Amino acid sequence: MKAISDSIKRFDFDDKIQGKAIYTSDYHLECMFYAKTLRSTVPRAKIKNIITPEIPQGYFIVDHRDVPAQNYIPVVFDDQPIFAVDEVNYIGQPILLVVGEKKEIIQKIINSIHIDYEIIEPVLSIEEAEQAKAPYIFKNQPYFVKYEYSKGDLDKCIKKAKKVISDEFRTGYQEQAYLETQSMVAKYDGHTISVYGSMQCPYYIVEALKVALGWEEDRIRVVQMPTGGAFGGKEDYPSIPGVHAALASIKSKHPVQLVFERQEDIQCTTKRHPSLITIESYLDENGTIIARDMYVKLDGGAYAGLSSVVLQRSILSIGGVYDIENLRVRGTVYATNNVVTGAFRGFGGPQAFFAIEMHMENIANQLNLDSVELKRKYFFKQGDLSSTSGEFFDPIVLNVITDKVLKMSDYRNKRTHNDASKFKGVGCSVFFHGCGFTGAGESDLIKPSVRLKKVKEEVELFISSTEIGQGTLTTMRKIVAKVLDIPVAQVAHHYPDTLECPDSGPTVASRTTLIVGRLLQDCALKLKKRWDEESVEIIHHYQYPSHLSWDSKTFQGNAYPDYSWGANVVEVEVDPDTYQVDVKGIWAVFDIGTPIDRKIVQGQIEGGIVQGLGYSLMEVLESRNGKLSQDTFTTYIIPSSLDIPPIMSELVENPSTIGPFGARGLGEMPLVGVAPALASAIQQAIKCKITKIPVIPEDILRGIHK
Amino acid sequence: MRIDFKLNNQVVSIDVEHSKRLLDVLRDDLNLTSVKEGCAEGECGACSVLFNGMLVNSCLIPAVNISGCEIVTLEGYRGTKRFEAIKQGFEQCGSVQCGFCTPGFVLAAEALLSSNPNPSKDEVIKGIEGNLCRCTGYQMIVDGILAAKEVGKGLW
Amino acid sequence: MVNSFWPMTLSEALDIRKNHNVMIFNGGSDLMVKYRCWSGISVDLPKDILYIGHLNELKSIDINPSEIIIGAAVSYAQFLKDSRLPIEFKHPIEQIGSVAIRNIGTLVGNICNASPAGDTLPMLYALDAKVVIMSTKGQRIVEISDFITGPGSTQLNHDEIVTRIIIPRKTYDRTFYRKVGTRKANAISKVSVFSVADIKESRIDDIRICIGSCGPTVIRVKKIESSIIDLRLSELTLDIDRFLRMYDEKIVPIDDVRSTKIYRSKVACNLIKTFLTKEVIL
Repeated sequence: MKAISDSIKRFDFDDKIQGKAIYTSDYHLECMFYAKTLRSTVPRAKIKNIITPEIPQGYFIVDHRDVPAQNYIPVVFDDQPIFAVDEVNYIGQPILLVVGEKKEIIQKIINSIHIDYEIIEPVLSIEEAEQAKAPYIFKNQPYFVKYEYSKGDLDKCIKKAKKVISDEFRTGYQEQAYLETQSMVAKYDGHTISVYGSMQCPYYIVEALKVALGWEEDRIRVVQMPTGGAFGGKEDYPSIPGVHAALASIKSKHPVQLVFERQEDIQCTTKRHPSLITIESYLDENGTIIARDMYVKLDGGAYAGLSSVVLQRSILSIGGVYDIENLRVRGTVYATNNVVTGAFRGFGGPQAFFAIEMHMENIANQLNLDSVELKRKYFFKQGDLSSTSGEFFDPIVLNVITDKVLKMSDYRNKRTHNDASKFKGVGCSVFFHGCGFTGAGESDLIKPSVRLKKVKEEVELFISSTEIGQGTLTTMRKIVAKVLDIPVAQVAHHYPDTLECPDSGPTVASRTTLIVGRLLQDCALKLKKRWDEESVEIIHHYQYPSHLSWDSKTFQGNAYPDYSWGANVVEVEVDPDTYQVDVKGIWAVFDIGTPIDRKIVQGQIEGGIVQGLGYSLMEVLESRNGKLSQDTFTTYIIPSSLDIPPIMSELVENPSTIGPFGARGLGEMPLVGVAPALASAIQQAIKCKITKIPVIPEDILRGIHK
Repeated sequence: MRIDFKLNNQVVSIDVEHSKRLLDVLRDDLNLTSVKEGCAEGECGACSVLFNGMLVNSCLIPAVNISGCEIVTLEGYRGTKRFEAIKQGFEQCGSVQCGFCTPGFVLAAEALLSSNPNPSKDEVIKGIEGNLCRCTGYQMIVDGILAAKEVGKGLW
Repeated sequence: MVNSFWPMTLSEALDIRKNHNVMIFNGGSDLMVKYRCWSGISVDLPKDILYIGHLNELKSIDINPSEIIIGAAVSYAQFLKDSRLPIEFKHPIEQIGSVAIRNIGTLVGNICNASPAGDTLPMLYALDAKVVIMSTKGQRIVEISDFITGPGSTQLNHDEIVTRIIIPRKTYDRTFYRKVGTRKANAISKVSVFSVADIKESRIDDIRICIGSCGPTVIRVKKIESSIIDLRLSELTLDIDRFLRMYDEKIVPIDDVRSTKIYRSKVACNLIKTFLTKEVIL
């Protein structure tokens, strides 16, 4: 490794390419039992009675009565029970587990359990939630949280404005569709409960086990197994199967494996939030945007989960990359009897950037301006105040990014010399992603720590950050090795085990490289000073940068510790017979500061773009009466190799002052900007307004023949 | 019922129910865990194996159908020179992320290259159409197979 | 647990079919999905099973001067590999499922499933394919359009097995196939159109237009076809809209999880129009 950006062989490569990596469902312990979950089949009901057959010896039912301490999953609010007690609020909610040695017998027991429901009228959409009356799903209100913040003076501008341009946008559910379903194995040895599984956040499961069991942390061990994709879907959700497997193992006194089937996984795990977003822009006599009023509404499903945090990111992104002096931003995440929505790569950002970018497009159309040039007029630059009036301290190079992506894609030429008879179009989006936890969350909530241990010449790094395919097991070693100026192979790093690893925080929010990487860099610097000692161990804790500040009540200050920036161009051709969209190419330019490993970076970029392409174009997921209609890989359509256009990506180097070696966060951003660039391209191709994603051929037909 | 077949170059005899999925036979009875279950309905290719040299989804094959046949999983394939070429190609091109789909892609690459040792980019894309990957966006896997074809020239 | 039969010959299979109430298991790509259980548990087949996919007698493609005869156990992959078969007949097949699916799925299985979205069906209807049905009593041959009686239903009797498909051997001046799926690979079709035409001296000598996924079974309207046959190309040009309206009336699709009624009929008509204007008339 010469420079930090030079690619090296991934440390997880050999095991994975040979099929030797042991994922949770491959992990077989002696005398292991299996567990299967009995779930609610109705969206909202009182449970009147559960009729169970006679249970053969050696088989167990595990339900809320088996939770020794408290029956809830700790996330932000403590509203979601581990097992339903006397009511259910969504289809797929866990009621009990059947546990035992033989799957056939478990299945038979499950099939013969009868649940008597007394149906309650469910709330099934944002609109229904807005009108909902008691009894409410959550506390005494139809929503989980409501936020509002502002900048400048909106009311004054409304009076002054000569023109108002308003839009309403809708986005659908999205399923993470990690190839490995949710999987856990738990083993109780009479004193300690160990949970092995597919996860992003080992310490979330530790917390959940502490709540459920009422035990001290020294009796709880959580180990991440190689994880077959996560994308946010294994952030908070694994706490449920993790606690379930643990309770099953404690009761049955056997190790227990709990692996979801695909249909079960799609039907009951968390999804991306559907949204309904309205934006009004107020323009003066010169056509200058003087103010904006924006409202984000999300469907949070039956329990709060991470919805409040997702909503925060959504309302902190909805202003886009634009410096508008007067703003009002509101957001509500509603409680419904749909599947619980939660974390998914982008975390509220994709919905917001789809809306703001399409809205800018529409303003340009109405003013008869080129949309990129209109956007450019308002681009944030260093020293500007964000929508929450936090100063941008680092240089912002949006013009460089945009110029580069336009040039690479030959955007100007394609945009202006477009043969309308051919249904061709090209679109451009510009966006950011706030890296790390919202506001001062890193110091107030997460308080991450890392540990380095040196024995003779060997160094081992200990963090709870997980390898979920994004390269943690490689990039973190590189950072430490580079600081210590030793070969990277001299640094050991294993899948996290909470017995050994301090809590470096969850593997979410594009924070691992930025926050954890920086902690490791600083920790390694300390170690370097003590390199002469034979054996050293250093634990290093996070400190909130002194130049940043955040008020979580008023939403004022630096919304994120750092930002990454990007622009996409998408070119399409719409088939005039079938209205199918043929994506001709996707161009992407990002400022992620210094890339820590170019090949890993390219993998994150291309994978994120394709997931964004699926989100915008084909991944239809709808709830009908609380049940998801597309719940298998035959009906929920993710892109195949044949659906992928050429993807061209480049980076601009603009080192961060916060991240290690100047790196910023990357994981989520490549997904964020695809939808608006694609929808703008389709909009140009078919000459009608796109207000909803995914944009499916059925919608294009409707648009063309309106 | 008793079923005899050749597995990774060894003769195997097992006693299983006729309609047990080959996927379960391999994973549960024979502990070959490179074969993954992703969707259980032939959509994702994570359970790909070679069946008399052809790529199949082992979730769609009943045990009875393998009687007298030859099955190759990654456990058997990874000792070959061809595997080394694919490994090198995938390493060069960053074709592996979470790794769950990887065994299926390696065998899909083998099936493609053994029937067409010099595929074009489009033929590679078509050759992996039945293997879903949610991490890479495919381009780096396609590049990996194209690189493997060069590295392993003459092997197929 | 159900019993299984693994005959060594076709005649043994026919005896089993006569004497037992069995379900025929050919390639298995549909049955293994339809009856799947929790991983690790055998597929929960609803009745005793007769496996026929291994029978050598059913594995050949025979070609004589007037017919292409495809055995029941011939996979899509085998069909695609056979260099004697015309490339136009391969287009629908190479878009079915994926490499791995095409290695086990069979044309006869696709017919016997009789799904409205069956990918081989528009072509087989257009080519006037016939289905050979055998029992211990002998064999009968029926037109594919008579064999399939509705979504998922055929006229196969309990003691019968479909052993072959016969495609009359003929070349066509024009062939056209478009499948519209939810994505480009491994997709179930939302609409598909397979059409052929013969043109002699600027007159339409033969035309067949078949539409899949737009009704309970494949739509082929011989009445419209015969009113197109014998027209001069110039006459067809003038009358295209009338014919499209006639098709539009006959295409009565439904809304389902994959698409909408309106989309399906509009796209089917568009594709027919494209076939007529860009392939037939040129």
